[in-house]
Amino acid sequence: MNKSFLALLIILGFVITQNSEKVIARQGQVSFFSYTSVENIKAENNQVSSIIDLQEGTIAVDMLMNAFIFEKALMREHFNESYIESDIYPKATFEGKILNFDANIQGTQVKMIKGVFKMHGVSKEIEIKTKIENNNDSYLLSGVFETFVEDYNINIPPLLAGNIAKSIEVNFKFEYLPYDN
Amino acid sequence: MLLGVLITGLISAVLVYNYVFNSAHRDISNEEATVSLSAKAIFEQFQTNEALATTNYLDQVIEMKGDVTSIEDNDVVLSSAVQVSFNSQETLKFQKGEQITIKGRCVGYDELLELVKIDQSTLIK
Repeated sequence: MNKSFLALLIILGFVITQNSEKVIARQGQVSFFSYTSVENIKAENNQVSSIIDLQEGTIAVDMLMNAFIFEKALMREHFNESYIESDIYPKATFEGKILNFDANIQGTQVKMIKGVFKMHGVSKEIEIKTKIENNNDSYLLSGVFETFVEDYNINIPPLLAGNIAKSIEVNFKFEYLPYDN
Repeated sequence: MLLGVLITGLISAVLVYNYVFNSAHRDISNEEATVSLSAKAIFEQFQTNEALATTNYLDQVIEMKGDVTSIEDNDVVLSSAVQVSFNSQETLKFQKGEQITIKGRCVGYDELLELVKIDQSTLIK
């Protein structure tokens, strides 16, 4: 009785310490696409950081807007100076929870992540379908979602309205490794 | 007369096209740094007043020195305070503890990592 109870405690302790760990992505990739008949715009940010608390299933993302790379310098200028106003709002953040997440499942699972995305001073509740691949405690999160320019108080001058799509396609890919705080 | 108008029109069109499509991206490695300071110093400024530090440093070319506390594929961390990412695979030659001076563009402060971020960097010494 005592021995098995002790063994159970040890195993339980091991399991608990295994789970209350955080994983971090330091060079997450986020890219967005705007398709119009006038022109297609694409931008990529490879410096996005994110932390997941595996036990709680919570996720936080921090994205510096100035780090987006555009094909054309002029697009970058418009983006930072007029649309996003990155000198006033240098970052976009996301805080949310992975619904029904089981950190122990190996291989692929598809889950919904629900939370608040904040950009250009505007906070929006969003839900994103995400593919989570667990490969020996390194996690790969990826997905696509759609977001609307007008939701974020972004002012596009009438002259350029045809160049920027109303709905923007956002792709993300984050690779998480164990984080020793 | 008409020929003159046509030629002017053509030249303007070429200039506008060039401006819109071929504006050169900034070459940070060739720009002069607007300020030179230590990694710790810039970190402290962002920690104390992020909005002010953002106004002062965002998008500026900074010359910075610090000791290498961490090395990854494309970036190093200086003084556990600033993450510096490079244009090329220059990180391969650094050693932990080495004092280096770099020049790069300030992208902002990452709250999750608690690091100031610099990109498009080149090694000065």
